[in-house]
Amino acid sequence: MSSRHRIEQLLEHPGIWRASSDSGAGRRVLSTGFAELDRACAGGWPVGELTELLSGDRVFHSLCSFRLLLPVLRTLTRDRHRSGRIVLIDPPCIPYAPGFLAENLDLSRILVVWRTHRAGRFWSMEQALRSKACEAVIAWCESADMNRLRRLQLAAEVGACLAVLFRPERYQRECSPAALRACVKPVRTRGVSVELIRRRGGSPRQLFLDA
Amino acid sequence: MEKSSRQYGLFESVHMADRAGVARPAGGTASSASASRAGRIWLALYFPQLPASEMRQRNAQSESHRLEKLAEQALEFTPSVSLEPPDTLLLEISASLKLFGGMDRLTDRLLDELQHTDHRILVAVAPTAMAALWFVWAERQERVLTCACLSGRLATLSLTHLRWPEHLLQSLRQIGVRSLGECIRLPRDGLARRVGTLCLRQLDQACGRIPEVRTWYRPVRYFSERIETPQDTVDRRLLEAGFLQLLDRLCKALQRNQCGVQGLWLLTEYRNRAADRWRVGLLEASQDHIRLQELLKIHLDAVSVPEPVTAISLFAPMHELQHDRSGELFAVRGPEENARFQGLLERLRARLGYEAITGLELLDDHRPEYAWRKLASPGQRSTCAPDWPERPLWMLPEPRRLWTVSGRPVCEGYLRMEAGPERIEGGWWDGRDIRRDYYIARNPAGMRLWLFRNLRNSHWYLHGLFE
Repeated sequence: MSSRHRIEQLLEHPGIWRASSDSGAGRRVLSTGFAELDRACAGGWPVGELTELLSGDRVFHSLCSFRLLLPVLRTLTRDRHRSGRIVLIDPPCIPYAPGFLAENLDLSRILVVWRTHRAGRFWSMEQALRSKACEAVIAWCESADMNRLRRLQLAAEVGACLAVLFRPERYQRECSPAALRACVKPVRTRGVSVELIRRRGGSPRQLFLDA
Repeated sequence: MEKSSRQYGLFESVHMADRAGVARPAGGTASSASASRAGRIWLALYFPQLPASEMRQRNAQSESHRLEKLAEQALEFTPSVSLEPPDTLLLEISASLKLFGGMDRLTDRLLDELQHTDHRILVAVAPTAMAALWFVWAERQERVLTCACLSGRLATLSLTHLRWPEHLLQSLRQIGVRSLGECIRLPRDGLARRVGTLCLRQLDQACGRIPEVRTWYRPVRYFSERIETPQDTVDRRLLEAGFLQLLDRLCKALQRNQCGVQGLWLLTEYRNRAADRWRVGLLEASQDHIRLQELLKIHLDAVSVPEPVTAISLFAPMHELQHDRSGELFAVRGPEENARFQGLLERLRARLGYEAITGLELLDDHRPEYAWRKLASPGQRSTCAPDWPERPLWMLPEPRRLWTVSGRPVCEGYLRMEAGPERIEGGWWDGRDIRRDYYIARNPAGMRLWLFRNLRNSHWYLHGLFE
């Protein structure tokens, strides 16, 4: 057996992820609702894996990236065949019911965990992910060490749901087990810029979306 | 072990609240009309001395307490026992007749059982509950088993025994009506005018013309156990182990009684201060050992013990398990997923507090702060969006004052107004009057903001964010 052949064989191990391989076989995704982003992220938001969205350091900046999730949340909450339950953990502002309704999100499917301490935030996110009772768990948090993030990643695998973590952009350089990492910023006139730091099926790239 | 409610003084108020949960037997609501059609037989037990025997400390509560004690004894003969305070019990005995070998044998056994309570006891039997009550109050120990001969027997009853208000009896006496038979023969509309709909309904119920709804007596049973710690301790692991042991015993008791618990009280006693107690709540009654264990552990994690504990106890009212669940909370998929979600909700609340986890609800109020609220039980159907101009996704908990540069508000740079003004005012009726002009603006970073100018002081405030 040639050495090249053996390397190929080794690389087929399911635990090895190669940036060049396109969509990972058997991975579930949910369409983001933006064709360009779908193409860039191998089909959409990864299900059962952690997604990390980074944005400006000011509190409000993280809310800009939330807009990217609106299409998928709309599909989830309005789908009769899904439980559509969405858990928001410690959002920096009040999720405003009239605004959520105007975006066609079903309020009856949304659960909010209000202001809690840092440990409580991670704990509730892990609980929600592991419960297998939610379709999406979205949390806002500042710092997080690798162990915590890895626990979340594992919990997301167990719960097989959308797991999104909003963090300030200064953590961009820290390592993270998230399958998808993106830096999101509003654009001066309209829309947002999405810088994909890590994505399945490709190297980092930047997109502009009309969100 | 499981104590009857009254022996446990500490949780009297809890007990009173829980007693309201009156369960029904398998047949659902008891209705005596349908019952009489189905051949139901009501036995009324009247204890004329019951109120008097309590003369010394007479109050409604102790009377009903005595009656409940008697009802508990009567439960040995039929599961369908209903209270008629202050002095009468109703037993539905059609299903028990065969078991006890006929009416006479049953009555004898019943009287034997209750005799040692040294009350005078009167017994009457009738196919409707109301008729049985009236017979026994009139001290006529009738044994009427079929509707056919019921009205004839009822007709001879004097009106004075029906426990109708005195002024009604008087007005009937004035027109010469003294017995129930004469009363029934009166024209119906005239009778209704004279005695009112309540008494007329009782009359119909007694004759079996309309059904009577009775609630069944179900004793609430309590689990209460206490363990003294081997030595005074603050060690959380020791306490947890103790509580888990108590929980073990609770779960066994629940299984034995086919009950569930909806709330647990944990108590820790100290040498020099009053006992602490905590409640662990569940959304619905459960006897699931693992689920209760998990909740208990989460709860104990958050508990801090101020000084060494001398004893711990676990207390829980035991409820009948409801199997005919209608999943109103978030009932979208199967019951399994609902159960998982409820479990999640319980765990989160056990650790973070009840108010920390809520749903969202739209309110019908034009003032932005009051157009929404937190919803304790998430999952209620939401309405459609009202026909308002664009509203932001996020709202600040409090409007944040914006500084102005040459009269224009700034927020991380100059703002470019995109829409507005939208005048929102009013609210004098509840003292939270506002007068504002709302605008939508974009700041240099590209964020869309919802801001307003307070027309009372001309200050600018940031109130929401669109993204």
